[in-house]
Amino acid sequence: MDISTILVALMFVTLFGFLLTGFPVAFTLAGTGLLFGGIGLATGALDSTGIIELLPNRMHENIVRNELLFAIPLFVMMGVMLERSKIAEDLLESMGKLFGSLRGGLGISVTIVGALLAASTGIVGATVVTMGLLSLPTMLKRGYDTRLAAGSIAAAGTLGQIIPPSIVLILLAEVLSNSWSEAQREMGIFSVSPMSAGELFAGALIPGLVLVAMYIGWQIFIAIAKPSYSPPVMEKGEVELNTAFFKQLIGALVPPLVLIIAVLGSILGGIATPTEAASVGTVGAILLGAARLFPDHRRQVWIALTSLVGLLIIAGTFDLRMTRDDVPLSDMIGFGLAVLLSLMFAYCLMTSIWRLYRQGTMGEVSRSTVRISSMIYAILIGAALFSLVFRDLGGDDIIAEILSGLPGGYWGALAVVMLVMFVLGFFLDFIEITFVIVPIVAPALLMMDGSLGPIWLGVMMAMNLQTSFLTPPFGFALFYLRGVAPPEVKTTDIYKGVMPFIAIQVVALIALVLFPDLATWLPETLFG
Amino acid sequence: MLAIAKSLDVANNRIGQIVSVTPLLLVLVQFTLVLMVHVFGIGSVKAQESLQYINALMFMGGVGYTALAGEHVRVDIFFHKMEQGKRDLVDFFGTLFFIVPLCILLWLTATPFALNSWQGFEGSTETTGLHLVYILKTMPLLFTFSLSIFAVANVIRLGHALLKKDSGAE
Repeated sequence: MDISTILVALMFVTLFGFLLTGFPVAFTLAGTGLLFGGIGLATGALDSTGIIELLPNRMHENIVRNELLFAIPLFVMMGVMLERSKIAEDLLESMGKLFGSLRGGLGISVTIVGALLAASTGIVGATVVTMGLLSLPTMLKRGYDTRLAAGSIAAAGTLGQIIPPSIVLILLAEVLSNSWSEAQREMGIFSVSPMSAGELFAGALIPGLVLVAMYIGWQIFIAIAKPSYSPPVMEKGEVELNTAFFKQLIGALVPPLVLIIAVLGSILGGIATPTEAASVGTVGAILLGAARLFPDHRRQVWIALTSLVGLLIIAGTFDLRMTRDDVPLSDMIGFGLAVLLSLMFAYCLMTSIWRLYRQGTMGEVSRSTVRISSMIYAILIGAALFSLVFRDLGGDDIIAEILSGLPGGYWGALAVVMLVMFVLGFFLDFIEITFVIVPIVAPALLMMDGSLGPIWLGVMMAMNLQTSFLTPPFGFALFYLRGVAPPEVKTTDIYKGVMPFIAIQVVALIALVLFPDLATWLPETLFG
Repeated sequence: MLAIAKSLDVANNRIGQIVSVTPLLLVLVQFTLVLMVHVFGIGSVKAQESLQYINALMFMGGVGYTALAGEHVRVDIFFHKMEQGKRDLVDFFGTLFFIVPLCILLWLTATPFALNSWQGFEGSTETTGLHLVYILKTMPLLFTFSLSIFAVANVIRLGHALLKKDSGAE
């Protein structure tokens, strides 16, 4: 073994050792990278500091100028806004009331709300904590089986990884599209065909919905097979299913649903980039938040939303480009109307922001967004330094060699990568795995014969990680739930409760292997 | 010494307060662009490029503030069970051996990176773009500054706490 191979292996071992001390991941990555850069220079495995000096350049070219990454603060802000303005809470409460009088009803509503919240925030921790605080006590009080209740919440919380538009998928798309171009160039393909975040979203949508359906199916099965495990949480007639109730339900359900459909639809329809759609989603979340927190402000929010719809209709009907030589009168009228509506919209949006600011929510949401986004970006920078050194030591060649030397060709290599990622998912968050492991293994995998392409690989990776976050003893979702669950819920209850859901995940993963169309059909249909 | 640490923390929190206008700014500029492009059919390279500046300002300026708030994600398997003294030890040595060298590297490399761009006031590659790229290329120094004042304050604070604990135990 030459010195580089030893250093590459040591680099990983050292990284994990340091990470386990609990020092922040971003700086541990950077520090380990620097340490091994130094060792490499000292042992002669590296011949210059040139690579390390590239760091500011990398920060500029790959991170600052990367427009896809702007979607991160935007989606983070959208999610934090929906959470802080209690829209998520309302959703859970109304769904609970709707299904509450059915056996297994609360379990089903937890699954649905988990999927919806997931789609709007994509932050595992937030979803598990919210539902753990709101639904778990109710479920337990009304005689739900402790294990079933805990398992349902932990599992529903992880849906945020796989259901678009999640932040995980954006980061994964960013890394995979680079790996995909790299793989194609290595294979001698010069007209590199790109892979977009929108395509990965499309790929993840059906598998995500299949998972939701299977989760719900399990709740129904339990309700029939073991009626005492998931009793109805309220007496028949405790909540009157009258117009007032349905009004409340629609009020809680429709706004976030419309928001999610608008954001996702415009990305999948190819109308908007994820970043553009994210800004629309955040503006929507600000308006909904203002309407939720200030009932006397609802009329203005209605005006804002109506003007926005009006704008879309006008944009579809008239040609509003005023720089043409000859603009017909009808288009001029349309333009005038559009300007008027834009001004009305801007006024209502500004008053909403102003009220949220005066009341304090806006500041809280903004500061929280800065902290969460800075955390993600710091890891990006740390990982950039780590992988600069790793590559300079020849790490990617070594990994490619190991992977292609495994028995079983593509599937053997894939199985090993999936297994490694699954185990790493116990210790690391998805961000670290996406930025440290995926760029190293993905190009090699994508170059091998039998590869099913980057979208399928991305969906497999996302679902695999999601499963690992659910798996005892170290799954992340379990930690979050443990943190908010009442003491009478034993840790073993949580562990046993998630078992059936892990089985569902495994079935879904196998299905994805047997029927790759689940992931590839929609993106092919939509994006050709 | 602790007074120095305290004033550095104040500075970092102040930077955090200032950059917390950026998320909203990012939303509004991007949303306005969406309306302009998709409704009125006009684009603006300047506005498009300004997003890079706003976003960079946010995470480059926010890094120290986030560290101070303790929100950089950790692998929490053992850390959450440790007592305060042990946590301080991890953070003290981590800051000293990981963050401080990173800051040194960045001061050494990001300074020439920025200076090169300031020479001749580098502009955008797009003719109608924002010709302020030298400011954008100075942002890594903001990251370095924000992280450095956190690191110095943290070393002072934790060093003090660890020393006090030692002398208290004797």
